[in-house]
Amino acid sequence: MMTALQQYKCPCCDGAITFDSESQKMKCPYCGTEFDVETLRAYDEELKKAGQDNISWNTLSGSEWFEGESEGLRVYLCNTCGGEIVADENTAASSCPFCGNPVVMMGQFRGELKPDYVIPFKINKQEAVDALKKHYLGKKLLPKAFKDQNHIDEIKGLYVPFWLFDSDLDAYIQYKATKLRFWSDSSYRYTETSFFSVVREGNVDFRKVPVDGSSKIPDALMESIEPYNFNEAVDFQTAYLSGYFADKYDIGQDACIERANERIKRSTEEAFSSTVTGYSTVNPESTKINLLKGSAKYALYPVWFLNTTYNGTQYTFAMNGQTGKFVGDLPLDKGAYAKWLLGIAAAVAAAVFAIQYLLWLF
Amino acid sequence: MKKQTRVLFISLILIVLLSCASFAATAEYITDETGRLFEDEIDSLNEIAEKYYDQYNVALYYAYVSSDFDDFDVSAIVSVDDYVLLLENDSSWKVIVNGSVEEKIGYDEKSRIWDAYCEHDSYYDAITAYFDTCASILNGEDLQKDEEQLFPNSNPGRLYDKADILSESEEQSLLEKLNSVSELYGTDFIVIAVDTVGSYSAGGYAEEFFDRFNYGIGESRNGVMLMLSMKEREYRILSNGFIGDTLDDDAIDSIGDEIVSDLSYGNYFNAFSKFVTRSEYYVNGAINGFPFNYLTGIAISLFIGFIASLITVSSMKKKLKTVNSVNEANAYMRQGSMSLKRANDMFLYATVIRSARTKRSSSSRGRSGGSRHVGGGRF
Repeated sequence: MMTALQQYKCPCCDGAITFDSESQKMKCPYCGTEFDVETLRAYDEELKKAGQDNISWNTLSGSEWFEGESEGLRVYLCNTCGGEIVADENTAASSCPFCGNPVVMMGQFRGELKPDYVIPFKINKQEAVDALKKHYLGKKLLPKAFKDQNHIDEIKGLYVPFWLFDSDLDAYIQYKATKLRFWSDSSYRYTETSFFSVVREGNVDFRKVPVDGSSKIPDALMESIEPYNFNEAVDFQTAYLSGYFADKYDIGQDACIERANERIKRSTEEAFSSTVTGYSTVNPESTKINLLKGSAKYALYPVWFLNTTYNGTQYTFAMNGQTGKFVGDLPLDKGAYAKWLLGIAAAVAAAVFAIQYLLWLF
Repeated sequence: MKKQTRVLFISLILIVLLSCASFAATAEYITDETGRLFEDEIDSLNEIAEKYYDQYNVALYYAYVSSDFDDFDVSAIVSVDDYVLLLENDSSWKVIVNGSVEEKIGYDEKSRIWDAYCEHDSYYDAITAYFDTCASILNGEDLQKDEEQLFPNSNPGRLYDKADILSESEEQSLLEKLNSVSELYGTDFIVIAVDTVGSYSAGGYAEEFFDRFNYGIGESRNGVMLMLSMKEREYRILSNGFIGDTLDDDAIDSIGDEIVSDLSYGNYFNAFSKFVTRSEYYVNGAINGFPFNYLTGIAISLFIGFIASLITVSSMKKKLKTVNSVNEANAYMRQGSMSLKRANDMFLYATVIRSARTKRSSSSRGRSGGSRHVGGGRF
């Protein structure tokens, strides 16, 4: 007689589970939970399907410069922070947009890859300055002096290098879900928790997920001014650089893939989670993403950078040069914070006290 | 030789079979359709009932049923003629007696049995108390005989220290206090401490004491009483009349919580003084309305004020920070590209947790012109 030794793990506690001849069920000797043999076999099959992600990108992006195409470009090298920016020969750089120091060196541009796309600036300099003023509005805990002494040290329109990732993917997601049921009789209250293994399999496509390719610009700052509307992107021409600066990528696309994958994976889990309904709790247990088609492109996106200094600290603001979305952390006025905290507490406390007293009177 | 072993073997089997049969014939006194008792509790209760059956020749049955009493077939569980059956379901109860016991257990005895049953928090203790009460009734310990020793001959006033747990001076000072608050509020404040409540339930004794000596002032007979029984180590607080509006079961529980440790440590005078002060607060509340509690009022106001302020100011502070990582890529998902190929929801297992609901030993009854609340516990 052929017998195959099949070892199952308890979905409840991971202990090795054995067949209980008395109940004709699989019973975990550690936690005592019982399962139908059929249920356990099906669960095990699902577990085998879940495994490692298979994400490999076709990373053919960018192209070589045509002869003479980059001749009109100049590269400025900052002595202080090592930043390298590109501008056409007619745009003079007076200071480094990253650290604010005067740029000292200038040389002939030596290109690596030529960008595939560019989104041209739609917001002009004056609009960027106005947006900063608007940014201060409605912020009661901003130091008054910060607002009053407001002067912009530097304002630069900069094309920031982005890697854009396209992907069509197959997702296999396993969730652990629970349902709760409550009832009681005259002497006990009962809580029943039912555990489910829920599987969702399907496809979803992502288009042009951007990852900042410049190490000198914080990723969080760039993610904060997203999203860009890629429909307005055009094929790259050096002419678009006129009057603006451009940064060269110094993080390769391979190094940026990880960040794109993280974001895609999270969105996929969330999207499929929305199809798991009728449960009290739903938690993704394993996610397997299989990339059917992945490709990356190199693009330049427009960003206005504004720098201002307050109490010896530099504050950097960034504005989406296409949509006008404006971000930048502001300092906190600790005195105002304390005043507001105590003021509101006192006002609310007085009101609550008055209500209590009135309720007692009537 | 061979024949002998066979005879021995057959008789052995017969003995085993017979003993099994006699074991199976042991009557089941407890019927528990809704799983209120544990197996070992049922076994132990059956043993107690068996013992009483041997002693009095009366079977004491207990049945908790899930159905209506009309649908319940008593003959299914009863196997003798002389029996007492306490029948209960989620909404009502009933004491059924049959045979010779009918003479001994009448209406009053039935309510005495039920009172004893209600006194206890767990079903096991309650059923034991039911058995014991039946036994004492069958034993002829009727209440009439008890009463001569259990109650004083005439109204003993607002302090009755039969158990002699207070000193002379303490008695004097407590009585002065009881009299002064009683007159101030037109409500009897009574403290009694007895050696035992006999075959009464603690709550039943307190009610009997209150009614027998006609305590209570005014039309609705306002009165509040603390009863201590030293042998049973039970205390009961009883409120009667319209002061029961504020001195309700919850108030009685809270007073009980405050005095129980003093009672346990034997600081009786302290416990009685606290009882007077705390019940005075509620009686005053019922008559004049509660005074405005400035301390609690201010504490609640400050707490709410500070929480509300913290939430508001935090949201103001949050506005200063606009640079945040974005961990999803929802904006870049191609519209309508998501398709579900397979969805499988598989049930794995279920767990049930049950927790006991507290069964409190307090009873309240609406009466004309007011209500009565009785509550307490052991000390």
